[in-house]
Amino acid sequence: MKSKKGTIFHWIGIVVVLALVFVVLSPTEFGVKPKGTWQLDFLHYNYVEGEKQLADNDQLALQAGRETVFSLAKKGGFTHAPACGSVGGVNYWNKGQDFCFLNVDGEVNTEFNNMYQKYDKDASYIVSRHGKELLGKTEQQVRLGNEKGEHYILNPGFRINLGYDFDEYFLLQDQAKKYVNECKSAEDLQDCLEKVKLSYWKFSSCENEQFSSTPDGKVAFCIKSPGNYAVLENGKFVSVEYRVGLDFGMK
Amino acid sequence: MKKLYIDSKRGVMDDFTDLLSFVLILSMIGFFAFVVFHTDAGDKADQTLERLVSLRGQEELLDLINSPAFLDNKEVIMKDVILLAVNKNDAELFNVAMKTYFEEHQLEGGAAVFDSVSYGTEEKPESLFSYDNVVFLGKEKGAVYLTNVNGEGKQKLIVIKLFG
Repeated sequence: MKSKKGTIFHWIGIVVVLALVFVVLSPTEFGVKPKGTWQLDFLHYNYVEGEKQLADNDQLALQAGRETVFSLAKKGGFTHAPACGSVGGVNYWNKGQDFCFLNVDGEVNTEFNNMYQKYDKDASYIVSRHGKELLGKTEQQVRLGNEKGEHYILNPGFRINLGYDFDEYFLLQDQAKKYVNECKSAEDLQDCLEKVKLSYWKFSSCENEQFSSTPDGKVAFCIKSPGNYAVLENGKFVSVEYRVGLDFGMK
Repeated sequence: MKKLYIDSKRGVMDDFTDLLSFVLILSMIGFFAFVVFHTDAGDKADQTLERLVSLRGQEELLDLINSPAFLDNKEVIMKDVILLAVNKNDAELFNVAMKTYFEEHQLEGGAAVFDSVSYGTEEKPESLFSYDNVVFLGKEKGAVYLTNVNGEGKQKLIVIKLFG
């Protein structure tokens, strides 16, 4: 009988070779896997992509915010013609002794959405003010996904600094009420107004001031921003000027 | 005691050489396996580090475009300056802003702006503007798209890239 003592070594060698062949041909990956793949993929394809979209979103909001400032200033703070009326494209803050209530927050919210929807028709924000900042909240979501069916959802809210405070409207309205009270019964309206109004209240035009009044005592003003606010428009800082009308007739 | 000694010496050399070759083969396989896995581990660690560097580059790009900048001595955001430079076709404005930023943050590399159409369709798109403070730009660190609401045509959407 042949001795079979050494055959075990041959079989071990054959098994080892077969194992190596299996390792090479097998679809399974052997060896060390890179650490943190899922985490880096998450950051790269979700967090960073989300931040990029938010950066673009914030810029759009800033643009819409700046347009809102000028748009409302041209219309005396009203999105639509107020109940106090509009003459020659100038919105009036009062009709006789009755002042139209200017809901600054509401008007800013409405006008901002009107401006923003030029760039994104489906956008809808609830805009609030905090000093010179505008804050926008929305129910909309930005969804980023991958082929595995995983989703990363973020909210495209914003907080932008316009460098302008809408609270100026409150100051101007207080001044307007004072002027109407003091000059409503004046014989010479122009003379009265020139005595009481502050220097940044201009008759009709900020560049070429010229008093004009309708027969029933309506006077249009251009008011330069008391805070000297200037907002970026088309690459230049443009001073904010308000177009407002006051009714000094007492009918 | 007797059993400790080999009774017959026939085939002992064969078995011994078998054992020797077996040990040698196992040693060589073990050595190659160690080298392969160790090298593989090193490669995989390098891959992870590269991805971390890439992530940091993307963050640097976001920091750049969101950083404060100055226009007419008033503070704006760098995005404002870049978009204005594109709309006014003002390379000088772009270069000054980038130079200031790169110097303040001690960065080496460059930045370039492309229109999104050229960037997305051409193999080697021509930049609208570019700035660099090195001889060789290095790798792309990141790219971001920005909507240019005042832009015309292809420049309604621009791409900003950072190199370093």
